[in-house]
Amino acid sequence: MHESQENSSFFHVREEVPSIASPVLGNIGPLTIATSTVTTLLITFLFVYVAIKASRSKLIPSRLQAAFELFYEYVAEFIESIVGDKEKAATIVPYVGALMTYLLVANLLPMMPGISGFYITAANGLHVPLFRGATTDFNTTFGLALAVIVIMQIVGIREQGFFGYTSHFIQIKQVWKGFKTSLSEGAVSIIGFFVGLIEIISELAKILSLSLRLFGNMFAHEVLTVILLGTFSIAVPAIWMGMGVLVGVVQSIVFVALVTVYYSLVLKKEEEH
Amino acid sequence: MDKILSILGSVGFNWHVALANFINFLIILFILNRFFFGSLKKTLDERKSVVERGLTQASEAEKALMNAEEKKHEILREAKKEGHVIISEAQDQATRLAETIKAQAETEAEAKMKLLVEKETHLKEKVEKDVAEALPSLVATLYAATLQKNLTEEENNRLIASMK
Repeated sequence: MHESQENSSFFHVREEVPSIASPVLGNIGPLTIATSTVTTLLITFLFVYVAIKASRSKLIPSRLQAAFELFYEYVAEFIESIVGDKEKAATIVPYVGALMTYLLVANLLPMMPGISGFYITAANGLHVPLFRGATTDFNTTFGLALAVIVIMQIVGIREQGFFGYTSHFIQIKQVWKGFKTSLSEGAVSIIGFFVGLIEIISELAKILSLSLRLFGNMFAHEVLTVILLGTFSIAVPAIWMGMGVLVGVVQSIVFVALVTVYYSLVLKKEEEH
Repeated sequence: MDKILSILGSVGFNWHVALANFINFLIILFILNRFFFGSLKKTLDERKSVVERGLTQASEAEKALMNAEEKKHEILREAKKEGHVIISEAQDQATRLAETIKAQAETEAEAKMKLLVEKETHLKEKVEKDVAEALPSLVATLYAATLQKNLTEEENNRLIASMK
């Protein structure tokens, strides 16, 4: 039995406050497998099943397919309400939709009864839960945000062309044109050049802002749940766990809304040309 | 860079785990994009086109029905008109036939009447002739009977001659 569980009573469920770093289980080549990675893998398998079901969709839908379609319509409408253009929204629905699906499942999965009941011995010899909430690990949210921003750059390049897109960051052409027009225009374009360089930093900052916001909220929720369970395990944590569902959904929506805005900015730049 | 990594390390950053999660998320994104959202979008688009096609066909069918209905009314109107013409022609024909028959009957009746009158006249003349021929002998017979004497042939002829 787990050490912390031995100290528990009817009114107090004493568990160790989860460490900020997800416990590492082992390595596969250059990839390190942490408990949060196991949860991500579980989610991947779940999505493979869902994808198989969805790929067999028919014109007359089954109940499950109708639920999938309802979710798709909701995501598409949500994205369209932010982007404000149906065609542009349709371009990013698969990316942002996939992100939203992943986040909803990743945030809500740890609240499923039984998920936290599996324990495993980590590489450091500690007895740790096998399925740690994916988004309570900074590495997951960082990987997620990094993937989102990388894909955003790919979408930007695909939509505007390589030189068209990168000219927002490295504005040599604008400086050349500015000085060709007049000296004052050239001086202004020099400012634009530095703003473009700052844009590169801002793109990198997006990765940190997105990942830290999600991680902070979800990790804080998990820590507080453990603290509340240790203080008084009857009723009080239940309210907080219920709140957790809300937090999970809201954080997913916030993350997705921000990413949609970033994507729509990439698509809007195309209009300016 | 080291400073950034040490700050990130304080929130548990491990680039090996982050890389694993990054790859994992790309796989998830590929699966969901291709087989979930892609497939659903295809089905929804297909259904939308089927519904739109159905609506177009329904509207075309409605138009065709309206045309057929109009054509039906037109045919009925023309049939009614033709019926009226046929009836009026038949009535005219019937009237003409009746008049012809009537005229024919009248002619026939007249001819028969004429024939009867002629026959009557002829009969009358014959009767008169017969009576005129038979009367002297009858009178002679009557005379002889009255006188109780048989007339000789000469007397008879004389009597007949005197009566003519």
